[in-house]
Amino acid sequence: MERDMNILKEQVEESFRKRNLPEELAPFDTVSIHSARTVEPYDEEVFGDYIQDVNGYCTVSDDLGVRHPGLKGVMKRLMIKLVRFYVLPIVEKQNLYNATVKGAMNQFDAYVAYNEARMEYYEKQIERLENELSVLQGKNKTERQSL
Amino acid sequence: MKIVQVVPTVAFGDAIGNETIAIKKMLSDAGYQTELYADGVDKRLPSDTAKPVQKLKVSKDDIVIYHLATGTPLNYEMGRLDCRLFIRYHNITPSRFFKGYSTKLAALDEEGYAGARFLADKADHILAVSEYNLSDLRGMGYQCGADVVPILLALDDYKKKPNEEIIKKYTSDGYTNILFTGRIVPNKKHEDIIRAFYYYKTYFNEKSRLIFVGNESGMEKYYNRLKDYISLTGLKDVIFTGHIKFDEILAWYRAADLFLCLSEHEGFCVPLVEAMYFEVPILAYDCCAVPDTLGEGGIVIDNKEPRYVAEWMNRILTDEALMQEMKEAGKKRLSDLSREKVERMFLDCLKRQLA
Repeated sequence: MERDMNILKEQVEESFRKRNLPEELAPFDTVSIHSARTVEPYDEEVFGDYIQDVNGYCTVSDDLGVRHPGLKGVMKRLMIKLVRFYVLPIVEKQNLYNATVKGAMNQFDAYVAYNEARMEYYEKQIERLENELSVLQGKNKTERQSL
Repeated sequence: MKIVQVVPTVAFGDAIGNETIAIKKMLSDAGYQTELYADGVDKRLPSDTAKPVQKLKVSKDDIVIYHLATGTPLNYEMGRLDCRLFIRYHNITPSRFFKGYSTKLAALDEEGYAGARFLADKADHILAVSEYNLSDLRGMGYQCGADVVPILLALDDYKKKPNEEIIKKYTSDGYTNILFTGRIVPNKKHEDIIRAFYYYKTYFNEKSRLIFVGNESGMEKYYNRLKDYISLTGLKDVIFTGHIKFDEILAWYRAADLFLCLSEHEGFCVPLVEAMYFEVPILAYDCCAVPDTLGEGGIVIDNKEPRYVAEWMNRILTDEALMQEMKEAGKKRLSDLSREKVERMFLDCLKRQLA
């Protein structure tokens, strides 16, 4: 550019200093990466129910189960056949998505179970070590007394 | 002797995909025997755009131009070819940007870097798209000869008719349009643009809007976080267009008053060239390949403090003479990146190597 960029920069920096705008904007980090404000606090029972529902309602069927006899049934079945080409790909996509969600949820469920088992294991370990420690402390005390 | 290009995927509307097609045409017009091979081709492109990479056969005399930009088994396969290997390096986004957003992308980029390092002593020549990319490869241990040749862009495509509806709607209401185009990905730092725009809108120009043109697909976590941040700040007039048609992209450039780029990782940054083409003044953060691509075609700043960026935005948008100068500078820089010039550079490099 024709104009002296250093002079332009100085001018902008000077007006920036003079204006001295307040720093009022919350940092980006204020917003959780996991959008935590949309997530409820963890509840083991609720989580278990959700997992059950995810596994139970995972597959969407394209069969609407029209069993009416007579003209009404014929008309309904005809309409379903007519829109089938449109509905089937949607159902397939939905099923694919559901399977992914189901997989993710079950993985998470397994992860929770794994962590619970580990926690139980560590609690037992702590208990055992505390027992051992008290026995050792007792021994130590007796030895000191005998000395 | 033939010159073959290999790319993992020829994607539709993607800078690398477009370049491979343009190079194929250029080489063919220059009289070289040439072919393009890929692992996958976008369904929207003609099926004969590229041959399956499994069918690639080369001899010692041949040159393979490998477009390196991501993690793929091809990175290793290219190193085992018995021919001359030229690396067209478009850069790989460091995985740190994707941590917390996409484990898959982070892993893919790590793989990309591992593959790039594997090729370091196997490459015969580098064709980097920017000085920044070249230094990146040097840092990975590449010691072969190198040339910097910008991306070959089909700028004629931009002559197509823009979407009139968008132009009419967003240029007739007296608002100032701040534009950034590019995929919604964390390395492009959309949040910094939002922050700067907040101060600009609040303290300088209430009648302004911010437009993000770009696809958020695959980066929904980041996109939702940006949306949440906008809600938190109470900011209005921020538009995410999502994936849109080409005529709509052209229209947004036509409607833009300023192109603002605060990205922290770019291997070239094609949108800068697009903004220059549409004579939109550019304000960009001095990082990675941005100063290489921009040259003197816009203003580069080395401080991202949002109030400071807003001050610059205000200065540019209120100084008619400066805006005009920036447009002229953009046009001048654009001529350095014209198809004819880049093609000449590319062919000269090849000729030197073949001699």
